[in-house]
Amino acid sequence: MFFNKKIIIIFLIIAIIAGLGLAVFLFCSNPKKQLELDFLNVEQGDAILIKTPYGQNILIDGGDGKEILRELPRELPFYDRAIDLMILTHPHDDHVGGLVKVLQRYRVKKILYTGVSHTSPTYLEWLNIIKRKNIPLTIIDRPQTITLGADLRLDILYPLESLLNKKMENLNNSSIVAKLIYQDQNFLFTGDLEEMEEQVLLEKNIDLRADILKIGHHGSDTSSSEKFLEAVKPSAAVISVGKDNDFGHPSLRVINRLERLGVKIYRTDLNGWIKINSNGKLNDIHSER
Amino acid sequence: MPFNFSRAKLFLYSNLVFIGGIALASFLPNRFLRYDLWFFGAAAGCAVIIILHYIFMKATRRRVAFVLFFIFFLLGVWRYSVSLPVTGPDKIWFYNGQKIEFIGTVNREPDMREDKVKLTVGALCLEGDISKCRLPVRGNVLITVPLYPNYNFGDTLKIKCELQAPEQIDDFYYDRYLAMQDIYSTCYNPKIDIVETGHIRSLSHKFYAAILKLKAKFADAMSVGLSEPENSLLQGMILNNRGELPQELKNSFAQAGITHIIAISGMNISIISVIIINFLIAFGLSRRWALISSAAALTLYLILIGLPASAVRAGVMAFVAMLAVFFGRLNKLTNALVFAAVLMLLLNPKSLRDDIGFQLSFLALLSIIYVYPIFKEWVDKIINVGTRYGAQLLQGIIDIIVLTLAAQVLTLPVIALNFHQVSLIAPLVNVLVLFLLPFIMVFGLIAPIFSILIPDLAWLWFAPIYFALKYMIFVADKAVKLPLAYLEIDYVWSGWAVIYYCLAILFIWRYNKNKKPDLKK
Repeated sequence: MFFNKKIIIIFLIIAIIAGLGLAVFLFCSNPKKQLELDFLNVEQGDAILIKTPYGQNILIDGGDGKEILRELPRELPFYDRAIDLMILTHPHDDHVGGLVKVLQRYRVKKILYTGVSHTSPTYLEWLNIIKRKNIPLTIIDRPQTITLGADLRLDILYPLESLLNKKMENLNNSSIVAKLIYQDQNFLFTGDLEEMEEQVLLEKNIDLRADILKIGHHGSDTSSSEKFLEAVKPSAAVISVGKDNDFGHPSLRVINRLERLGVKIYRTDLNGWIKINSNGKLNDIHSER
Repeated sequence: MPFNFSRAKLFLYSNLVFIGGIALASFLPNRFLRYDLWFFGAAAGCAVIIILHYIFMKATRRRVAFVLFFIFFLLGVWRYSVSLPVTGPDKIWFYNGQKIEFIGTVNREPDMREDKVKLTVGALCLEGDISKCRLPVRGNVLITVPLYPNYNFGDTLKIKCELQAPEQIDDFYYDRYLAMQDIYSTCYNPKIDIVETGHIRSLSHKFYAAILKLKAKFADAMSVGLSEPENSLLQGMILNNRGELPQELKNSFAQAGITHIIAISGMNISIISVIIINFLIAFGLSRRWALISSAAALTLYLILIGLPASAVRAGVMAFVAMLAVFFGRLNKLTNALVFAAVLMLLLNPKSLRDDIGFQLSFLALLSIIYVYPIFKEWVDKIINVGTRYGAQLLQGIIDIIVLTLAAQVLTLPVIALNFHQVSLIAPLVNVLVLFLLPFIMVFGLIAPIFSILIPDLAWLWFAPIYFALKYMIFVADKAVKLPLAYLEIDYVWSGWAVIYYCLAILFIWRYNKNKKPDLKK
């Protein structure tokens, strides 16, 4: 016979070694108290994973869904299968597609979205799964603050009013704009928000200043107006964009604007994934290439 | 008399001749095969001749045997020609090249890919409603749709699209590959309206739908418990869900020579069943009952994963392997193996020419029956493990290396012709990886059950498998980076394959013939 007691003993030994290894690993991997932002390389689309010093995982958008499941496991250890907060900035496929796959495979605890009306099959499937899995869903109908810890909070700056079930001519302008504030450091995420609504934010005199800016709409010149960039005054900017995409993103004009302001540019098409570690005073930026 | 056949030989040759008939028919131009009734008539005629011979002539057995072979040959040709599609306005492929609207039911498990879904739809009606159909049609259409919205087995859909006949893509016979699955029409990006969902017509469909639901539960549990690409690897190994496997992983496994562990191959299933047999014997069951009940368990498992053709084939092979364990001898199995091939070709005669999986499975098993003993004898002459410390382990490692090398001997031409890659590192990788297979197969079925019961700890139930799979992927990735790990083969003249097989058969025959006198001493 091929299999006898010895095989069973080998199984047991493997199981015990695996168990011990796991225990040691968990003991040693005591996470450092710092904030980590991962701009995942999801080709043409946005996907940003935020790992807070308090152990929460926040996922802002998920790309179109082809890459996200390959990218997430690199940043999340195999035993961490929970997303504490999922934010959908707006329901275009290159933002919601990956979130559908994440919903199927990860335990998502809370979701923020605007509830804007859209009928693409991907978005409807996303809503369907949320309903089926009974995940708490919060509709962002006004600017608000989400406290994540004593020195960490997420300010939602836009939309200014409820967009629930509203038909938008340009869905990009329904994007949730959020600012993550960790001690002295500010990180601004603008979804795909376009120039017109950037203007609205400027007129409302909202504090937009941030150290790191996720450039709106994959670097398209419909976003990131000169005035807006001047108001944000970032030291570094991240453009989440696919190589050789059909839209001509990012626009040279936006790159020039950023360079003129002396902003360091990171692009997922050139740099691969981009990881920012922050201790609240300084930011340490790495990338794949 | 030189041509007096024993019963076992008669049986074997009849089966071989039947396979020969199918082989010939596979390569004949279709116009010869239109006369399927003629072949059947000829076979019947021969049968009448035999009976008349027996009644009136008391014919010699030899002559009768040859007529019998001829009958089986004709039946082989007939079986193949019957399987060819007949066209007509009641068949959906009659409308290939036209833009049409038809109603059909999803009649197989949807094939989920990374960025699309392929649905097999059985056409029902071309004109009119489902209840009042003016032009009923039959036949399957393979439609390619986006990931969302979801369609399930049993959904009835109204589909509007341009039907296309599948065509050869480069050197891949896509048309033949689909014909093997009884599909002669495809369409891309159709406009779909759901007519009704979940309305299932027959009892067998209901049963199948329930199974697919259970299978989906297992798949869900796996994807919640494991991250990518380990999840899709496990699903491929256990549930036969291969669609979402990343291409890089498929490539590195092919180059490392361990693709057989992703597919539900004869080996995977054989391992499961041998484990079950031993488990049952350990519990005090008799060998006979252990064999019967593990065959039953095997059947249940095959049903759980939805009876895909490849797995059914693997199941038949596993049963042959179980018989081998039962009787303790491999070389008596030729008849059983050939008969298994005939059974499968009766079900689907097209698989002989077009199903690479079918060819590889049988060639691998033939290799194990005929080539493995030869290699083993050579190696035993060179290396004698003796009784030193760890001799059993060493013997085990040597056995796996010899087995993989032996299996390559007869499968090599098929692999080179179809995949254009030959793995040289395969024996090493197999040694490093194969011992984990039983562990993964067994725990891979247990862990989902645990994590359905206690979902919060899903990652923990899957942790051991996670490490095993990660190790497998790691080994394959590293191994293919070694120099000369695999060879790329651009083009091979298929005649070389024929010559290769002739030489191999000649060699095996000569070897066994020379060996026989030794045994008699």
